[in-house]
Amino acid sequence: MIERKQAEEERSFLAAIVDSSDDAIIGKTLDGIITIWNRGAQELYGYSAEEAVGKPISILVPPEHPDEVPSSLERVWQGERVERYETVHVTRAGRRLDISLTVSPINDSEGNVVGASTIARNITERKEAERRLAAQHAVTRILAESATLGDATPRILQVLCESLRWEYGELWSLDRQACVPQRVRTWHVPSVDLTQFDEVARQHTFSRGVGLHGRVWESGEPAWIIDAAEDANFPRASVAAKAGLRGAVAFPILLGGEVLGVLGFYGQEIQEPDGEVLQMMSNIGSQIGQFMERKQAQEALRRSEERLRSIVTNAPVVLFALDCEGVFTLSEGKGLKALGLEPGQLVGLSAFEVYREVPRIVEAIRRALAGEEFSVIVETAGLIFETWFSPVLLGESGEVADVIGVAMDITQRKRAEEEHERLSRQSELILNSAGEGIFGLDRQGRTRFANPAAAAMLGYELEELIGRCQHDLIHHSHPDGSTYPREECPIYTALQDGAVHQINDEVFWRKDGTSFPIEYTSAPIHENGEVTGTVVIFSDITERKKAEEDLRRSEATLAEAQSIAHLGNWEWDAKTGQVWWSDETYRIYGLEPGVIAPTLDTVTEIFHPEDRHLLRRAIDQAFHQDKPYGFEHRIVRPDGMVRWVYRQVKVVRRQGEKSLRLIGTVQDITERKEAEEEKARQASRAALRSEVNAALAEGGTLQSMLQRCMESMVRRLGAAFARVWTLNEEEDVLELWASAGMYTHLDGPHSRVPVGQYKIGLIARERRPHLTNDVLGDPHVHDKEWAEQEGMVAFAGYPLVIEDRLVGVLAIFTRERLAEATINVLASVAGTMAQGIERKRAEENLRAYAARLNRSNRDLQDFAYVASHDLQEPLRKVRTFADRLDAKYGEVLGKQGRDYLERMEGAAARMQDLIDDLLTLSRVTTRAQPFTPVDLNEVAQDVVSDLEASIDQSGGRVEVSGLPTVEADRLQMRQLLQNLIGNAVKFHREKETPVVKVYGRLSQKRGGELSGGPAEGGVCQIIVEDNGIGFDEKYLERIFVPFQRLHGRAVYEGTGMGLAICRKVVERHDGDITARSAPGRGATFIVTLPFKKSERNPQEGWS
Amino acid sequence: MITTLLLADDDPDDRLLVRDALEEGRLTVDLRLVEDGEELMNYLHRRGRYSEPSNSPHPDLILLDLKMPGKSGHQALEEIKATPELRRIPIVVLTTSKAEEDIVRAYDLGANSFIVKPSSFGSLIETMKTLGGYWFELITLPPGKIER
Repeated sequence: MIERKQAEEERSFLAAIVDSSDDAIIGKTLDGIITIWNRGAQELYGYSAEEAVGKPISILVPPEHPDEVPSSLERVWQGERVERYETVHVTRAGRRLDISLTVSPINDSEGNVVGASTIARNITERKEAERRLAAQHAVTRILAESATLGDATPRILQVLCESLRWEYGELWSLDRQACVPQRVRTWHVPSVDLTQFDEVARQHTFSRGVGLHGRVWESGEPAWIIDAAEDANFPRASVAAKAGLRGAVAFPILLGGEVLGVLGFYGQEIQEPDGEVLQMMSNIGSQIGQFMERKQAQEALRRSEERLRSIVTNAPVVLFALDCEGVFTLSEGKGLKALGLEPGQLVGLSAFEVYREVPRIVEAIRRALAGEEFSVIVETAGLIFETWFSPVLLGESGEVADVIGVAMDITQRKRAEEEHERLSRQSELILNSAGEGIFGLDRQGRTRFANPAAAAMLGYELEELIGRCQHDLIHHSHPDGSTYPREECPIYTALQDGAVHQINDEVFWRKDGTSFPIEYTSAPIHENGEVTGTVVIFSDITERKKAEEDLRRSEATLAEAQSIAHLGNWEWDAKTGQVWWSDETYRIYGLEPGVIAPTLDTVTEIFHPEDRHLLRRAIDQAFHQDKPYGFEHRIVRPDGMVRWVYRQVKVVRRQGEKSLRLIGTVQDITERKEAEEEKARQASRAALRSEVNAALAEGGTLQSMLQRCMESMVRRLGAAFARVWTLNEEEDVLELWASAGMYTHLDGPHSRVPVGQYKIGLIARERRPHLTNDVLGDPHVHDKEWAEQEGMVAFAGYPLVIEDRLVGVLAIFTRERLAEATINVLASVAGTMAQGIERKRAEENLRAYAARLNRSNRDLQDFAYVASHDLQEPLRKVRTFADRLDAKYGEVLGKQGRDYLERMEGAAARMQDLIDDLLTLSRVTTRAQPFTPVDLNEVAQDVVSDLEASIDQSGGRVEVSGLPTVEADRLQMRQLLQNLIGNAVKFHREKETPVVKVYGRLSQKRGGELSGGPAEGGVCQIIVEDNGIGFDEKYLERIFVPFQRLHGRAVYEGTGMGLAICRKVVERHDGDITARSAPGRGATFIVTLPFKKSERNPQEGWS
Repeated sequence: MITTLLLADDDPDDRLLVRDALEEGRLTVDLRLVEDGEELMNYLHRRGRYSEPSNSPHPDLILLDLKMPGKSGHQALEEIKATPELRRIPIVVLTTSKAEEDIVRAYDLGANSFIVKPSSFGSLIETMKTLGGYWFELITLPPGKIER
C-alpha cells in the first residue's frame, strides 16, 4: 500500500515535473499517438492536452516534412535515442517553430519498447537570430560579389525569403525623376503559386503612403503587416489572401536619408512585428543603399576614367609619362600617329634610348627628371613638336616621382609662322629696298612705317618719323609756305573716301626746313575689310621739275636750233586744205624751196607707198586727240631716192572754231636710220654665225644640224628661203638635206641635182660661189616667171668645200639686195658648214662602223658558241659509233681496219678537245659572271688540288703564297690559274722535278708609278714561275693566239687554246698577261690585274 | 612488274644508243620513246596518240634531253614539276650540255639528277647500269600508277 502510495506519489511528482517543465514533454505510442502532453507542450504548440492527446504526433509536423515522424519513430523502435534533433514544428495557429527534439524510447519492465517520449524545446529565437545573421552575411557576400544591384537583387530576395521564411519577395525601385515606384525584381518559393499576385503587382504602381511599399517609401522606415488579408491599407489584400499570403514586411533601401527602393517580403503566416527582423532589415537596407552608392560612385569613376581615357586617347597631342628612371609609363594621344607610333608603344622603353639621337630631348628629359618644369620645341623627322615637361614631385621629399608631358605637333603652326614671317620679311625687304619713299600711316595719320628711302629724302632718322603725325611733320605747308590744313590733304581724305590719290604738285618739308617737289600716290590700307590707314608712295621730282623748267627756257632758242638741225616746219589747215612747207621741208623732200604749191596729195605722194597708211592714221588721230605725237616713215624723193624722216604732229584748235589745224616738223633721219639698220644687220650676222656654230657643235643628226643652220639663215638674213645639198660622191648627185623659209620640203625637182646641172649643179662643178643682186637678169636663174612673181631680188649660192673636196652646196634667195657684209658672212658660214658636214659625216660613218663592228663581233661570238656547241653532237656520234664498230665488229675489221678506226677515234677526240676549248674561249665573254671580291689564294689552292694527280705524277710541287684578293669573275680566275699552273706542270723538263711558284706582288701602274693598293685603283701582279722547258721569247706573241702550239702533239698534249683563254680572261678583267722565258730556263708568266674593275670600262658591252 | 623508262630525246642516234646500251647492260625495262617536249607532255597527259593507256604506261623514270626542238627539256621539266599529279615522277636530265647555267637551271626546276651524255658507248652502258641500279633497285620509287 505504502509502496503503492509511494509509487503514486512518485508518479504524481514525476507528472508534476513533467507538467511544470518549461520544455514541451510529449509521450507517444509506437504508432505515434500522443499520450502525454504537458503544459510546456500546450504553451509551445497552442494545443490543450485534451486536444492533443489521442491525436497523431504528425499534427505537429509541417506538411513539407511528412517523413519526419516515421523516421524518428523507426529509430526509437530500435531502442535508440534521438538526441537534440532540430526540426520545424507547426503550432495550432499554423506558425512554424524551430524545435530541438530529444526522442527517447520508453521501455516496459521487460525492456520492450512500448512508446516514446519527446522533449521539445523552442529554439526559434536562436534559429532566427542565426538565420538573420546568416542572411545578413549572405547579403553582404552577395553584394560584394555582384557587379550591379540588378545581379544582386534576385539572390538577396531569395536569401532573405529562405532564411526568414517568406514565400515571396519583391524589390521596388523608385525612379527619382518620375517619382514612380517600379517593381524590378521578385522572387518566390517555387512551391507557391503566386502568378496572380505577381500579375496584379506588375499592373500596379503605387503612390507614396499607399500600400506597404508606399508607406515605407513615405516614412523611410520598415513597415510590417501582420495579416495582409486584414490590412486596410493594402490594395492587393484580396489577391494576397487568395495566394495565402498573410504576414508581410517591407523596408527601405536608404541612401543618405533618401529612399532608393523598397524591399518587401510576404509569407503565409501571420507574423507579429519583430524588432530583430526590422533591425536586420534596416541594416540590409542601408547596406544595399551603400552598395548602390558605391556602385554609383564606381560607375561615375568608371565613366570619368573612360572620359579621361577617351580624352587621352583622342587628344590631338602626345601624352606621355615617364618614371623616375626616364622609362615611359604612358604614351597616348592621336599625336602619336604623326610619329608613326601606336598608343602605348613606347611604354616600357627608356626615353633616353628612344631619343638617343635627339640630344635636345635627352637634355630636356634630364632636366625634367631633376624637377624642372618647362617646354622645348624640337624638330624631328620633319615634324616640329612642342613638348611640355612637368615633373610630379613625391610628397614632401620633393623628389621627382614621375614626369608627365604633352607633346604637340606644331609643325603646321610653325610652318605657317615661318611662312608669315618670311612673307613679312619679304614685304619689309621690298619696302626697305624701294627707291621711292614709302609711308604707312595709321587712321590718325601717324607714321606707322617709313622706309629708309623716305627717311633719307626727308633728312630724318627713321625713329624720328615713327609715331609722329606725318602731315604736321613734313607736309604742313604749301610750296609757297602757306599753311596746308590737314583736312585738305588728300592723304587724309583717303582715310575717309577710301580712294586713291595721285598728286604731283605738292612739296614735302625736310628736317632742315627746306622743301622739295614730290609726286605721290596715297592709297587706303584695307585690313579685314576696314580702312586701317594709308600708304603713301612718293618720289622726289626735283630733277624732273628742273628738266621741265630747262625745256621751257630753251623753247625760245628752239627755232634756231631746228634750222641748224635741218628740221622742216609745215602746217596744214584741215578746213581749207592748205599746206604750207618751210624751205627746209622742201629741201628734205628733195625739192627746190617754193617750186610747187603743196597740197595733201603732194604730201601723200611724197610718202613711201608702204608707209602711206601712217599718214592716214596721223590725220585720223588728229581729229581725236590733242596731244602732239611723232612717227618715223619713209619718203620717196622725185629722183626715186628713199629717205627716212621723223615727223612730229601737233593739233591746234582755235577757240570757237570747229576746224583744226595741224602743225609739225619733219626731220631727215636717214643717216641715223641706216646706222641703226646696219647695226641690226651686224647683230643678225653675228647671231647667224654663232647660231650656225652652235648648230654644228651640237649633237643630233646631220639633217637636224643643217636644218637649224638653214632656219638661222632665214631668220637672221631675212632670206626668202635657204637650202643646202650634200654631195653623194658615188652618184655625183647633190642631195637636198635641209630647207627652211617659204619652202621646207625636201622632195620635188630640186631634191636631187646632178653635178653640173642647173645653177646649183654648176656651182658644185665650178666650185665657185654664184652671187647676184639681179635675179631677173641672171642667165643662170631658170624660172624667171617664178622669181618675178615672188619678188626675188638676190641669189647667193656657195660650194661647200673642205680641203679641196666638195661636200655640198648652200643657196639662198632673198627679196632684198644682199649687202657686201652679208655676202662676206655667207662665205664664212659656208666654210663653217662645210667643216660641220664633213665632221658630222665622219662621226656618222664612225658610229655606223662601230655599230657594224659590234654587231659583227657579237655575231662571231654567237657563231663560235653555237657552232662549237652544235659541232659537239655529230662528233660525239662519230666517236660513239666508232666505239661501237670496234666493240662489235673489231674482229671482222682486221688489224689495219682497227688501226684506221683508232686513228679516226684519235682525230675525233682531238676535235672534241678543240671544240671544248673553243667553247671555253667564247664563253669568257658570252657567259661572263658579275665581278665579286675573289681571294686568289683560295682559287689557286683549289686548282692545285684539282691538278693533284698530274702534279703527283710528275713528282713536282706547286707553292702558292701571298696572292691578292681582287674584284673578278671567280670562275674565270680559276680558268686562268688552272691553265697557267697546268701549263707550268705540264711543260716540265725531263729528269727535273717541276717546281711551280705562284705568288703575287704589288705592281706599277701602267703610267709607271707604283700602285697604291686596292683602295686607290691600284693593280697587282700574279706570277706563275716554273723551272720547265721554257720557250724562246720571239714566240711570245704567238703563244697567246688560239690554236698556236710550240710543240708537237706527240710531245705535249693540248689544243693550244689554254693561253688564248688566259689572255681573253685577263683582258676582260682590264689587265694584261705576258711572260719571260728562255728555252730550257723555265718560264715566268706575269698577269697584271687591277684590284677593282675600273669604272670607265664597264664589263657589259665588252666585245 | 616491269619498270617503265621514258626517254625524251630528239636525236634518233641517241635513242638508238640508249636502247642498245640498255640491252647490252642487260637491263630489262619497258623503254618508251618520245621525240620532243611537246610529245613528252602529250604522253604524260595521255593526249593524242597516247590517249590509250596501253600506249602510255606510267613512267617510273624519265630521261630528259634538254636541247629539243619546239618545247625544250627545260620547259617540259618546268611543266611536269608544276603539275601535281606528275611532279613525283623522277626526272634524270641526260644531255650533251655541260654548261653550268643548264645544270643550275635544271636543278632549280626540280630535276632529280643531271647526267652529261657519255662520249663513249662503253660509258653509256655503265651510265645505264648505274641508273638502273640506283633508280630501280636501290631506292624506293614513288608508289603506284598515278591517276592522270
